[in-house]
Amino acid sequence: MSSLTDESIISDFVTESREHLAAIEPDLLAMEQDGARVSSEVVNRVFRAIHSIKGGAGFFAFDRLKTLSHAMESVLMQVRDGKLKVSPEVMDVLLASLDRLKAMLDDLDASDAVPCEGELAQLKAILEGQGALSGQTLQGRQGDRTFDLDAEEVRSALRRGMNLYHATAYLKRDIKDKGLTPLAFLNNALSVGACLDAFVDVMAIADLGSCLDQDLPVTLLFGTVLEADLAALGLKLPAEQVKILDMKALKAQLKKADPSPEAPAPPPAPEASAAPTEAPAAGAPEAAEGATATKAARDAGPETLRVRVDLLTSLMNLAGELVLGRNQLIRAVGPQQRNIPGLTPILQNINQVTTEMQEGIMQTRMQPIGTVFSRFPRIVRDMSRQLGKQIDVQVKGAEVELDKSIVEMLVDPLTHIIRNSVDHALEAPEERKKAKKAPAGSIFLNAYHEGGQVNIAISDDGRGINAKKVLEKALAKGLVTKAQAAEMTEREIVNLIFAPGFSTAEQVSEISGRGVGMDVVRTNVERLGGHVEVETELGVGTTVRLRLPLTLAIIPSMIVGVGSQRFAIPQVNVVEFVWVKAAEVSQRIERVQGALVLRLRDKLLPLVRLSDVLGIPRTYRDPDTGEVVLDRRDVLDRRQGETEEPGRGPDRRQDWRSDHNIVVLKVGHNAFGMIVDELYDIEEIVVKPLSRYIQGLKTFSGATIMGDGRVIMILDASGLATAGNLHFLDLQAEEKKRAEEERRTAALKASRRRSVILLEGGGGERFAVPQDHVLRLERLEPRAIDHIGDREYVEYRGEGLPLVRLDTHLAVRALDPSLREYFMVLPKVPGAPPGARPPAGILISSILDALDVEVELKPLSFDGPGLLGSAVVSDHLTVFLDPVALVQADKGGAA
Amino acid sequence: MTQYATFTVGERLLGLDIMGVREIIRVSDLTPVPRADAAIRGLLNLRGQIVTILDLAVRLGHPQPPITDASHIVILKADAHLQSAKGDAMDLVGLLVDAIADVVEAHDSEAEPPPANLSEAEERFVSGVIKTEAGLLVLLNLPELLSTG
Repeated sequence: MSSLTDESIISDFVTESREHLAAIEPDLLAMEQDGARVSSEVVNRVFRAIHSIKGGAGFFAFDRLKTLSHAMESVLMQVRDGKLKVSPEVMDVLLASLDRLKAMLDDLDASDAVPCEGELAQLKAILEGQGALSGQTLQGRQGDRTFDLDAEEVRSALRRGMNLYHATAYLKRDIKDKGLTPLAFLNNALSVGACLDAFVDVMAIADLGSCLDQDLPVTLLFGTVLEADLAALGLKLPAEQVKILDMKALKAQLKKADPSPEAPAPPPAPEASAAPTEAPAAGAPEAAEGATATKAARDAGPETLRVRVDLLTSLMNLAGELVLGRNQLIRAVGPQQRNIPGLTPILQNINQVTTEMQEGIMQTRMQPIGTVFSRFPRIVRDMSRQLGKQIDVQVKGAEVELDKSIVEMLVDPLTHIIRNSVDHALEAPEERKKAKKAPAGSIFLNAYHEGGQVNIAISDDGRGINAKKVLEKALAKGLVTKAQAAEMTEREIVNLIFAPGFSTAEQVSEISGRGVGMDVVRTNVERLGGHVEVETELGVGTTVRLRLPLTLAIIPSMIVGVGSQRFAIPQVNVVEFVWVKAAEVSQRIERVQGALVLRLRDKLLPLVRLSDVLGIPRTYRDPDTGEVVLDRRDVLDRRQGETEEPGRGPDRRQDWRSDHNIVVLKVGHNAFGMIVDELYDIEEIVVKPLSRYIQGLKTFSGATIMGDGRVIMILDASGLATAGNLHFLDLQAEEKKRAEEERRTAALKASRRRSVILLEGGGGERFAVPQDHVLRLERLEPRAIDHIGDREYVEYRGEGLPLVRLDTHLAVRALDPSLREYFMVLPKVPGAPPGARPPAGILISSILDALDVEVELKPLSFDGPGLLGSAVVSDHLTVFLDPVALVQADKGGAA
Repeated sequence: MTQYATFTVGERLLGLDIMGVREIIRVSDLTPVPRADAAIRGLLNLRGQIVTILDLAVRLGHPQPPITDASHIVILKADAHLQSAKGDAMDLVGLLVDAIADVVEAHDSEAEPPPANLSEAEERFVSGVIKTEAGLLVLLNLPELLSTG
């Protein structure tokens, strides 16, 4: 048979078989999930795929591949016929066998060395358990063999006026004995018509060994415009071996299938007795071809072409260069535009075309995230089986596209996150039942665009992350101090799982633990210019969210200058620019615990000086001469440790004579300001990777070539934050402290403001009582006062109301007894019901005023009940009294 | 016969197998790399490719030389082992030298082991010496010179 084999045919076979396998893995998982309800289409698809692999393997004499795929096919047939229920055990075996097939296809020549005895034995056991795979079944199956066809294919054959024939060729009788090879037979057949499907009984070959010597049958579904007798002649087969199919029935069937063009139209072969026949070899590639056609018909998307990645990479680099060349050109000839007629439209055209070409080439590198997502259902399925958990995986947004290199670099982080979910987050069914959750946990992978970036969320409905435990561990490992922890929000605490050194070998489990933790996930994602964070609710679930740029290669960036050097900072990291005028520097920039901070809308923003982080002497534009000179005005920010109260040493701050350009950058949830000497434009830059000699520098993420041909470095925001030694947590604490202080000051200010009633006591002494402590004021005549013992009373609403004189409790003058009238203050006891009688009245000589005052009370030189303090009101020293406290003290004293 | 591209750093005449040299250029705008190793003199745009310039003098343990009109950069051919980890961009390297000298032809057999009077830093990067009319030609050990270790 090797005479038939040809390297290119074999490699086609491998490519197609791989595609088959990749396509049916999700189908197998769907079969497991849906159990008996799985659609027959899915089962058929799997069956067909395995079947065509088997055919090809038999054809090319890869025995193991054939034997294994045959055994799988037998099992799948039982499933298809409803004789075998799909259990997880069956699926285990089928999936394991699938992996073996993959391994064999990876190295076909060594495929016979791939061990698969275990899988074979298991498959056999399944079949025997079903009492199937007997010789009888085989016979029967051969008899009512059904061709798998795409309706469209049949329709197209009919349109071309073809008749369909069921032809049977016997390998020995019809081919070998006539001095033909199977390929020659096939070529001849194709010269007279089209082969729509073929069936080779490879199982028979498997059992019988060398096939050419055996009289094995190959059945073909053959389409040709020839009439039956001529067709037989053309095929060089005896007329009785070529049977025309009932074309009317077929057309009727097609019509029925019409609403759904994908529905297979299986033309039944003639009755069993006519079938037995031969020509095994030739059928196989046809079968494969038929399957390809079917597939192509199914996803009738745009045409595609395989292109080597390095070619695309080189094209992308060239496009990048072209962009730079265009920029240089425009810069160089720009001034001449007016002088040379027609130049402007040419430049515009070049400009436009270059931009579009660059975008187009970028597009070629885009890959759907689904290529990564698709591997997870299988991983989760295998893990959950192993762990005795039930987990559903749902995928959304698989079509979202990212640059190929990003997609590739996402594999590891995503796998890690998902393994964590399966292993740690999702509970076993019993535990879930106890928590009143569905026994099957779920993992939801969702990719979507947002704000020019791609978000990927991995959610589970597991037990969530226990912030307390995270904090304990972080404290134990010294990742945060107690003081810092006290100021952290729960969200911040949970995100400590991304801190380097958080997870360790302690947690190693067979599945997810390999001593690498979420910090590796974060590092990988940040290396891609992305960001990762986690949200969790205890007992409800966890969501890990990745935010990623669409593409790595061209990014809009802000160009900044320090000294004579320029740097690029990716725009995704830039929040805003703040321009602090020289005159405002002292008010807006200050020092907290030795570090420079900027006050920005009530927030404290830590600052780094790019020049200091990079060790570049800085310059400033002299405000008087406009000259750029070396900035020697040192340096508030070098004197670490020295505390400097705001308001002290303003003369030194005035040394900062120029304005400050601050670029506010964000790294995750944190923001910081970067002081630069100059701000330039935003430009699209082509990112070039760092040379290995400088890869260790965390402050840079790459380099680029500017329009003027100079190389500049691209700054890495998180690296700058690290290099600038920023302590975000300390600052947050400081911020909280300040907010607290502010609140207190405001409260104090509010407490100073009061509405009072001004009263006069004996001898012109002035008193003030808060209005809200006064129920009412009453006038009374001295003779209305009754004496009982040493207490005085007045009749008030039909009852005696005790009176209180200020001089009995406080060191103040007595009321003038000669006055014709007195007044009394009836205090309002807080919490008393409306209409309740006041406990007592306080006697005074007159009411002066009711007004709002804003005063700060000073303590008095004497003490007494109800005394609040004193203050100057309307040029008079006034004693502030709390009438309620006073009358209550009086009652106590009387008792 | 092997042809050597020769150049000077300080008083030393140094040489490399000319097959390892891609081209020799004058020094144009170099972009310094802040906080990088002192031997990294900067980056250069060579027709759209970024070249890392090693200061050969510093690499050999001498002080940083000033750049003069005679200064040149010897751009080395990108070898397979110089490819970056990503494999999609060649990591081009150039050596900053004080001046370019002649191409010297010599038989491999003329090469002698490095003399004992070399400094430790130099010893690591020298593979041998050849006596020429112009003086002692010191042959550089390129793999060692380019190693990042």
